Amino acid sequence: MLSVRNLSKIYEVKKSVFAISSTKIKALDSVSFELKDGETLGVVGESGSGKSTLARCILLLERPDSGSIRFKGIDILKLKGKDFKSLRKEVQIVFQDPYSSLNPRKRVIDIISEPILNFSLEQKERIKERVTGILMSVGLDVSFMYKYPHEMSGGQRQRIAIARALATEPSLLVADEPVSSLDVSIQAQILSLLLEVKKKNRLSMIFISHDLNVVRFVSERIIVMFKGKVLEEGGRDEIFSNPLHPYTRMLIAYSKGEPMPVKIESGEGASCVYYQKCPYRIKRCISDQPVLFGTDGHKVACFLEGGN
Amino acid sequence: MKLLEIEDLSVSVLTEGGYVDIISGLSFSIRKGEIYGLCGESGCGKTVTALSILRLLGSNFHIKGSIFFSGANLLSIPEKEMRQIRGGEISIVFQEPMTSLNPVLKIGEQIGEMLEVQLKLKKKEVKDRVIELLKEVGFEDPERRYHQYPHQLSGGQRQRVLISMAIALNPKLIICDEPTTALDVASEWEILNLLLKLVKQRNMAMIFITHNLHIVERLCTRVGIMYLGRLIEEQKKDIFFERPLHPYSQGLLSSALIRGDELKPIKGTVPDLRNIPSGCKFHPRCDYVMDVCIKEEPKFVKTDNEGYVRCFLYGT
Ligand SMILES: Nc1ncnc2c1ncn2[C@@H]1O[C@H](COP(=O)(O)OP(=O)(O)O)[C@@H](O)[C@H]1O
Ligand SMILES: Nc1ncnc2c1ncn2[C@@H]1O[C@H](COP(=O)(O)OP(=O)(O)O)[C@@H](O)[C@H]1O
Ligand code: SF4
Ligand SMILES: [Mg+2]
Ligand SMILES: [Mg+2]
Repeated sequence: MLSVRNLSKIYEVKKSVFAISSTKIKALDSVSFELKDGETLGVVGESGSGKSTLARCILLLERPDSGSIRFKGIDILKLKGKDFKSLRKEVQIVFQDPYSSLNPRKRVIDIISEPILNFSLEQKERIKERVTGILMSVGLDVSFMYKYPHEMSGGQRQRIAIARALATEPSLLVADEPVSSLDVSIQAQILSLLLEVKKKNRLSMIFISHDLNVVRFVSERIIVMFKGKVLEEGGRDEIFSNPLHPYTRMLIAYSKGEPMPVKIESGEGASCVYYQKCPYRIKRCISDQPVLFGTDGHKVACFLEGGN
Repeated sequence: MKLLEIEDLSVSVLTEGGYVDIISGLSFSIRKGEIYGLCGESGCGKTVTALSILRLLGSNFHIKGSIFFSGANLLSIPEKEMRQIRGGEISIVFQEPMTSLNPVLKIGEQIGEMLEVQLKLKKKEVKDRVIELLKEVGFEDPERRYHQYPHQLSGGQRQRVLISMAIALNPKLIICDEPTTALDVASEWEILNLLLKLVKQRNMAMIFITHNLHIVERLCTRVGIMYLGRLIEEQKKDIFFERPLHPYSQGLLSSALIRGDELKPIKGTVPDLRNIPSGCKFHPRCDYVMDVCIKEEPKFVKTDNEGYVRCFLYGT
């Protein structure tokens, strides 16, 4: 379905408004992974690890500096004109904050019908019917049709965002922290809705979250990111029963409430991105950068696991 | 022994549309040395409860009931006495450490200023105390930290500074209002461990306010669950996570994916405070609703194991 190879994106950020020099932030550093048809891939990592940048690149909302993204075999970074537009129909996104991602001046019916008309997926006369159907599939009744975003709760707005994403009948849904701003009872409703629409519409999904518990619940496979790098990748059960990277081990120990080794915070400028926080670090991690290696079922980027 | 005893606390706030009830008939108590997890979704009244205890609510709030601390009712003592209690006997740590710190004052000076005012110590004594405090909250290089400004610290480090201020005057009770919500998991873990250590070493009690049941399970000795300004269940920690009684508690645990792989969301949403339901405030969302639940509000009744629950399934 999706094959991402060596994706990199660097942002130049000035330290202050007056600074002449700028620092480079590797938001994505040679990120590679595969997503199979119908699969849910969970992307987990703390804030700043590059998850949203990855989502924006896949959606073509942003151009990576290097690397390739193949969707159903097609190199989407080379798409132009009509093909570019048809990709927009195939890949949709749901963002974290349903308030800022919905146009506050538009009513629900306009929000949902816009992409449908845009891609000429329905005649104008029949649009109301179509929107009604989509609203129902996200658990809202027709009374929401003429509401504005501010007239709805956070959970309802997120349902509208999902409805809009489903409107073009995509085959891939990218969900970037879709429940992170919601209360836990609403989180659970939206999670189960996502799983339901995924199944019903036979979607593939990339599910991004900083919350390992949630990622574990929805994903079949997981990649663990840190400062733009993939540190570990594998099947959900494999990752949880046999975590290899010190960062993954820390995340899992934390989610289970197990004691963890003391946190370290020193050693700037080392090659391994996790060096500064790693309780198991060795000399080699300062000078060399471990690359992701292993089997299809489980990969890790760490010298302690015999990496290169 | 009971350190803090809240009895029938009700709080309402004056809005454009008149008074709105925020807290209704809240009763719970904190014993020496315990960690009480006050838990519930946003808007259920956790922060207002904390601010009521410290009498930090504005004049547009109307408070009824009583809050006993060391024999005195905090709601009726003069403001001068309350000032002694605030910080001295009961202190609070808020969620966002940056807004609680002065950005243009050095860390050491901020902690010191507070000691100077409250304890009337000499300059040299103050500095020694501050260094000790910084060490106690886990800074390995307290001298250097003393001279740093808030923006030079990470979120977790700033939270540790606030904790050092909260323990500086040896309070008997520390209230933490979502102190780790803005932090990454490693820093969150660190802060929780620090709080556990301090509570033990200093023999304090703690009210830990959070929406995160995973943290409650890890940290607390007792749990109180709030819904729409009411406590709906209170249990010892282990009993609660083993067998939550209230339908809302059960739904919350499942929603938070606490016990394994079943997700049974609670239906509907939390109603607006201006438009709260009749009877049991949870009845529109409850799978077990009975006729009586719509007509009457259940009382907060004792269960086995010294717990409480507010639900007709467990008697009236
Ligand atoms: N438009 C941008 N300009 C400059 N820096 C950016 C931009 N977008 C993201 N970054 C930086 O790139 C890194 C990764 O960000 P992001 O992809 O948002 O991470 P995440 O979604 O995992 O929190 C961060 O350090 C962030 O500050
Ligand atoms: N100053 C205020 N004016 C009006 N309503 C308020 C005010 N402060 C809090 N509230 C309301 O009181 C309820 C409880 O708030 P709060 O205690 O902050 O909830 P929590 O901390 O549990 O998220 C909320 O519905 C909130 O909107
Ligand atoms: S009192 Fe009735 S409506 Fe309320 S939680 Fe219990 S069973 Fe449900
Ligand atoms: Mg993000
Ligand atoms: Mg609050």
